[in-house]
Order: sequence, then C-alpha cells, then structure tokens
Amino acid sequence: MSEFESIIKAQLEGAAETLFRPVRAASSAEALEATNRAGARRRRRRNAPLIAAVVVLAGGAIAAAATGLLTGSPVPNPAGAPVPYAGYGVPVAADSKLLSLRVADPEGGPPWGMRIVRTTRGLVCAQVGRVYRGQLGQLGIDGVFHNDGRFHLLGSDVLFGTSEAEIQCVLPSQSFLSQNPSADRSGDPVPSEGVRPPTRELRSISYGLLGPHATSVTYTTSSGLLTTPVSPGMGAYLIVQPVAQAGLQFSHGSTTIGPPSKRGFAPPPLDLGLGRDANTIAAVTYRLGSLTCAIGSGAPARTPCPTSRPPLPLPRTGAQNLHEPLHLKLVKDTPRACRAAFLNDPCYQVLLEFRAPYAVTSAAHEYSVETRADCSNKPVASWSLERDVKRGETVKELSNSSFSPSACSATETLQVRFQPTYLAEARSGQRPVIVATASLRNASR
Amino acid sequence: MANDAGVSDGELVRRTLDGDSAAFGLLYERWHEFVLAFLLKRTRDPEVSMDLMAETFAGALLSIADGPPAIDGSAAPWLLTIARNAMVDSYRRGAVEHAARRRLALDPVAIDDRDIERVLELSAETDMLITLAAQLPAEQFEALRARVLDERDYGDIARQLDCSPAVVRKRVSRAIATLRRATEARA
Repeated sequence: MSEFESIIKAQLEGAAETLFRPVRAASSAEALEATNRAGARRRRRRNAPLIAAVVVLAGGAIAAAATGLLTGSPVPNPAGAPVPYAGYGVPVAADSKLLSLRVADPEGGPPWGMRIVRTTRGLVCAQVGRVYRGQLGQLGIDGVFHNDGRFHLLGSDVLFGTSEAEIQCVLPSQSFLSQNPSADRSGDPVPSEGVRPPTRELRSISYGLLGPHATSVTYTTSSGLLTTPVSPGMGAYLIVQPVAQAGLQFSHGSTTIGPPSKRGFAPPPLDLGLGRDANTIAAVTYRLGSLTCAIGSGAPARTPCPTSRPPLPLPRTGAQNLHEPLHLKLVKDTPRACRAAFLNDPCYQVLLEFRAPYAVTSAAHEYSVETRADCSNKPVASWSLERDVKRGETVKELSNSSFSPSACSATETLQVRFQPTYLAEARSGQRPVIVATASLRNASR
Repeated sequence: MANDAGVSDGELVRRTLDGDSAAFGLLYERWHEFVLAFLLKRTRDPEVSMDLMAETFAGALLSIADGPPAIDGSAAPWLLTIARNAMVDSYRRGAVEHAARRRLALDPVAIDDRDIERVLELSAETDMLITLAAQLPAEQFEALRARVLDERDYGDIARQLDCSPAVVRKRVSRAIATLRRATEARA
C-alpha cells in the first residue's frame, strides 16, 4: 500500500470513528450528547478546529446570552462581491427591509425574522435568519463561525451562490413557498448525509411570499393543524418548529414557485413532495375581491379558489431561428483542466462571439449556450451568461467546459439561445429563440 | 478485530455502523485496489483515479451513515456504483468531485510520483481484477488474487488473512471452480 493509500485509510477510519461512535456509546446519554456535539463541529461548514479553547454554547447558553450577544464578523458572501448587472444583481437599498414578522425559537434566544431584498436585476428575495437588535444574522453555534457564540450579520447582498441559508429569489410577480425540515439553529440546511446532529438542535423552517391576496396559511404540527395570518402586502409567512421526529433529520427541503402573473393571483403549488410531516403547509387562504377562498385542505375557508389551467411545457422544437453569425475560436486549456475533464491534452475552451439581437435587462431572460455532439445527437452541456446584455452588443463568451479535438466533441455544435430563465419559463407565449449555431469543425485557432 | 479475513463484506458494513472503525479500514483494504483499477481503466489518469478512489470510500462511509446498504456477498457492485457516480459528477463539474470528503472534513492528500507508479502497476491487472471480483465472493477473490496474481505462497497468504494455509487452499480451489463453472455456462 502506498503512502497515499495508507493516509486515506487512516482518514477514513478516523471519520468512521467520528461518525459512528454515538451508536457504540448509546447506553450513556451523556456520552452520546458529547459525541454528537463533537461530530457536529467536525461536520459543519467553516469547521472549527478541535481545540480546548473552542466555546460551544448550548441552547440554554444562547438563550441566556440573547440580551448581550457580542457581534462577530459578517456572514461571508460565497459568490464573492456581487455586481449590479450579473447574477442576482445587488440590493436596491431603498427597497430592502426587515419585516416586522418575528417568530420565537423553541429554545429561546434571538427570534427569527425575514428580510425582503429587491435587486438591480429585478428580483425579490427573502432572507431568513435570527434577529438581534433589529438586524438579521446568524448565530455562532452548531459548528458555524467556530462556535464563537457571537451574532453575525447577514448582509442583504448575500443572495446568490449560497445553499447554506434560507434565501429564495423570485420575479416580482411570482409567489413561492419553501420548507426545510432539518435546518440548524441559524437556518442553514443540515446535510442529508453525515454525522447525525441531535434532533433538539434542529429546526423545521417553512417560509414564503404568497402575494397580496394571501391572508393566512394553515400548517401541520405534531398536535394538528394550525392557521396563522401572513404579513399584509407581500403575503410573507415564517414558521419555525422543533424537529419532533428523529427520522426527519435528513429530509431534504423543497421550494415551489408560482408562475409569473400580471393579475397578481398565481399561487405556487402546495405539494412540496415532503409528505404530511410536521410544519407542512396544508392550505393557503386568499381574499379575491369579495371571495374568501382556500387552496389545499384544512383551512378555515371552505370555498376552493378558482385555479387557472397550468401552463403547458414549452416545446423544444419549432423555435424561431435567427441564423445570426456565430464565430468560434479554440483557446488551449491547461493540462490540469484537461485531466480534470477526463480529456487528453491538448484540449480547448471555446471563445464564442455573436451579436445580441435582444437586450437582457433583468434575471427574467438570458442568453444560453447549448452544446450538442453529432455522434450522439444529444445535448452535452449548456451554460448561461447570467448577465445584462445590450441589444446589438457583440457578446464574447468563453465556454465553461473543455473540448477535445480528437474525441466525439470534435463534431460538436454550439447553439446560442435567447430564452426566459428558469424563473420565468412558465410564462405563456415565451419560447426560446435560436440566435446562432456553429460547429466546432469551423472554429479558428 | 480477531479473525477478520473470513468476515463477509456485509458484516464489515454492519460492524462499521456499530462503531468499529477498523472494520471499514478492512473493507477499504479489501476493495480499494479494485476500485482504483476500475477508475484508472476509465479515466486513464492515475492522479484523477486516486482522488476519485478516496472520494468513493468517503461516499461509501456516508452511504452507511445514511442507511446501510444491503450487501449480499461482494461489496464490489455497491462500491462501483459510488465510484461511477463520483466519476460522472466530476465530469459534469469539470473537476474531481470532493463533496463526500468535504462533508467528512477530510484534508486533501498530496499524491507523489511513487503513488502514481504504484497505480500504474495496477493497470495491467485491471480487466482481470474486475472480471474476477464480479464473479467471486470477497474471501475467494482475495485468496485467488494473492496466490495467482501476486504469486505468494500459501503460508504467507494465510498469515495475512489470519487463517490456516489449508483454508487459503480451499478458497483458491473454490474460486477456480466458480470461474470454471462460469466459463462453462457462457460456452
């Protein structure tokens, strides 16, 4: 066995020890708790070094300290510094606000809250976290921020590229509901695999924006259905419950988004595919003019709301084709990148150049590039520009994948499309437009 | 762990789940070369193969934590499924997948020239190893490989597998018989 193989073996045995020691020590509740805490520290992001100086604040300690928490470094933006014209854009400061909505945590401490952020790319985003002294943030517990026990501000620009917090962005005319059955005490999703954190450290979080017509949500709890009003205007709601059943520790979260609607009533589907476990939204009540109605079951209102026919999926064939010129140039990739893509060296990225026939001014539309190999006639890869583009602009874009001139990809065709983004694709009448197509065979070097 | 060599792969998984970390180490010893050979055959890159092999076993550990797999006989199909998925995920990402190791907080391990040489040595055996392992119970595969491919004597193998030379002979004999039956069936 080589040194590498031996080290990997030692690492794996160490990880197995950490992962499964709780089972062996199950006869001692104290040992189990201690091990779970240690495992959680090892498991979570921004892992804390296992040193004696680490302060692990248990729930009671956080609750007691809630009136005098120290402030730590802000939550970092995993996407780096955002820019106004790409991705989700940057917050429009005047339009971002922390809602007055507050929800107590099951073990006390800073309450939960929600901030609404409007961005320069036309999105409305909801951020969920703990509220301390009127600011939204996260707590330095559960392995986060080295368990420093401090309060860490969650900036309004932390929107894109994070899967580690309860954040959802939609178009202004859309509604959504989201549920995470196993989040930590700052709202970060707990990985579905790995060390089992104690159930008492987990929270089931449900939140959403249901639009101006929504009046209340009805949700399941361990003792039956409960109904709570939503915030007027945006129809915001937030429910935080303890995770009552150990089996729910590794349930995945889910989000459903309603179609964009100018009429203002386009409810998101209620079925999140999570079953009827605790904290599931069972019904939403709306007021449509003089009609009070509900979608789902168990709401105080018995009248079902009128529902429109769901939009048909857009066909991928028969799209308008503009036949614009598309210039391709091969750019030699590094040997390391070739190896990582399982391609022989040399391999290439492709620089695409085309004239944009339409402007992109928000996150509702995008230019995307799809690659298709002639030898298999199947889409191989696709990526989107995810940025604003002026009409008539000459777009130069480097492919985010590599190609080998000797493999099947030598026959690959690259196609540029203008299309609604995944958020807006359900909007009726919006079909993708094929802007340009070119073969790698014709690429220059 | 006493007398581990005769323990089935399924039993090693069960022991791992019960908190016996050495059981997972033994499972790794049994199968990591096989997984490495499988990955090398497909990626043709020693460094990528080694990285993916480490990711495969980290994924296997997380898979046990998530709910132990039902292993009837050899763990090879289960491990190869994880390896294949890691390979496909890596291809899509354009870089070697390391999600499982990240979740387990395992540090990256540097690969040097000697490691690469050793992996390349495995490449010649790749097809035969995969064929044999797919058809034989783990203990028979281990004994046959040690005797036929590594050309070790029965006493040496017996010491490594913690059993008597007679048991090794019996396993090798059974392995050959199993392969003969498989060959006759195909004919």
